[in-house]
Amino acid sequence: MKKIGGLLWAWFDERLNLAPLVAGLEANLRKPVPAHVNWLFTLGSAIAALIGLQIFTGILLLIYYRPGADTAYQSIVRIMDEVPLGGFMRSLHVWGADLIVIFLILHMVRVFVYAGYKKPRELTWIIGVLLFAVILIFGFTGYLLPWDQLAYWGTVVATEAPASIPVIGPITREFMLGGSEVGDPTLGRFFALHVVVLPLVLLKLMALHLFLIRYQGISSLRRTDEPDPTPNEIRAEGGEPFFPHHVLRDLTTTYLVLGLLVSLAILYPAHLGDPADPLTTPLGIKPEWYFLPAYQLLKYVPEVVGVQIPPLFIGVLVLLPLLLDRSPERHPKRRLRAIGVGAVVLGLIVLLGLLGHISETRQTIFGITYHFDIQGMPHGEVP
Amino acid sequence: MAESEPLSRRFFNALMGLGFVGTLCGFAGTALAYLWPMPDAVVTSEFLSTTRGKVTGAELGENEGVVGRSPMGKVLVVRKDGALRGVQATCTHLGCTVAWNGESGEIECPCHGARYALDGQVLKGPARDPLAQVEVREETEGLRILGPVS
Ligand code: HEM
Ligand code: FES
Repeated sequence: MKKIGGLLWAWFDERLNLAPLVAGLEANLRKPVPAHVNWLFTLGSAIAALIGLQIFTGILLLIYYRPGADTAYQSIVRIMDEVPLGGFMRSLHVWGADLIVIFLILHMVRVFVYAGYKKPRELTWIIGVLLFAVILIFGFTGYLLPWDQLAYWGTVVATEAPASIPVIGPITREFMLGGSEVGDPTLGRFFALHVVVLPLVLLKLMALHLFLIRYQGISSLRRTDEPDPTPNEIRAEGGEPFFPHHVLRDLTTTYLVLGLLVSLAILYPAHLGDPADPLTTPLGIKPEWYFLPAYQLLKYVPEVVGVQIPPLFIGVLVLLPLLLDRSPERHPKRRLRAIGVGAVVLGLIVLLGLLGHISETRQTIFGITYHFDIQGMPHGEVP
Repeated sequence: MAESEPLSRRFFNALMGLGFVGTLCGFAGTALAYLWPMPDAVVTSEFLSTTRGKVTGAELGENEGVVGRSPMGKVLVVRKDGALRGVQATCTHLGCTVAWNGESGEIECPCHGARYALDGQVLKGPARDPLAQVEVREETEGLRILGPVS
């Protein structure tokens, strides 16, 4: 074995002069990570693993899925009922998408708290924001593909809201849908985006993101106007080598997340409702949970204003390291005000999401049944 | 000749740049045309129809409603006190399909709870605009959609 390996190495090295390349890689792998790096710094690699798995399950689903208003629903039924482990495969894909969004949010929070976005890592953050946007579009386009009632009407409502912007709104909507209502052309567009365009964009952005992180190293806790610590300084402060120490931590988190994913997929298999029927809207249409805050917001403010807030929020995230937070402090203890503002914003988003979740439902709390109206306000009901 | 050379090189570069931008625009334009929304499949039958075919008057009892397609888009037809009333079935709020609720005697939207009267007027938000009224005539072949109520 060893001999074959040696021969192969010699063959390639003779032609490509690999030795300097390997030496460079090795040096990069041994570069230490700062001493404050802990388990929270493994969230990014867990996302990368989930995305790898998502592409794997996606390709497998693609083998039996048939896009098209007449075929999509039936092909999903077939995947769930006939294809061996088809239901499990679909559940992995559906839960995988949810976990990616959850871990993406956690990763963003950790980068925010440790000020990882500050100079000189603004680009890493901005590429991260683009990754976040791409993942949301993944979720939005994927939601339609099963072509059941929830998929269909969720998309109707979500694409109707931007149409309230004067002039460009209706044109944009028609262009997105490929017609005046959600139908076969819409499914074709969303499908092409979901399985080809977005994966290509995502993988390119991810490669850039990961390259920048390895190239610049994880941020220290020093002020941005002080020079970053050298590898020797990091070692002296107790920083461990990236390989194998931090990589083992990454692997541990990744396996825990995979375990969570498989358990969820087995315990709570993905659901498929009735086939889409453009003539009947069912009760209880709600978008995916991560769009609920935006959806709920639309109920409190005029649509024209409401639909512009989510894109504005993405814009604010892009501008965060460039304009909004230019203080040189990195240590969380010296950034209590920034962290406070971040917590309030996150709290508001979560609150909107919870209101969205509970609105238009009936809940029994301590034996009293409440009806939560469209704005999420409770009304007691006489039993 | 030697002096004009830098200039012509510049010109050449500009030409190349222009050509490149032109090529990009060509591709983009072609893609845009390809993606341009196509006209919806036209509903030619003037009779209200669902996936099961034409709706006949006999299928629609007193105080019942049915949603179908027509050349005017999705239309809700209700038989109330013997007479047929028609309105556009697409909720003016965010585009869900409304339905007739015989118990309350109102048109309801299942998405965010908007309610309309039989003449399309808004009774309860979040919808702000009324549903346009549609003229319907009962014929032996089915329910003929005549057009907007003038
Ligand atoms: C596909 C999604 C993403 C993947 C696979 C990913 C992966 C990673 C990985 C592996 C790291 C190394 C450290 C760690 O894990 O904490 C990292 C760091 C970083 N990520 Fe992400 N990330 C993603 C999305 C995002 C998003 C949405 C943002 C922010 C909007 C972001 C901003 C950053 C920044 C600024 C760093 C550098 C932090 C530092 O040096 O302290 N990433 N990312
Ligand atoms: S779509 Fe009808 S009430 Fe919102």
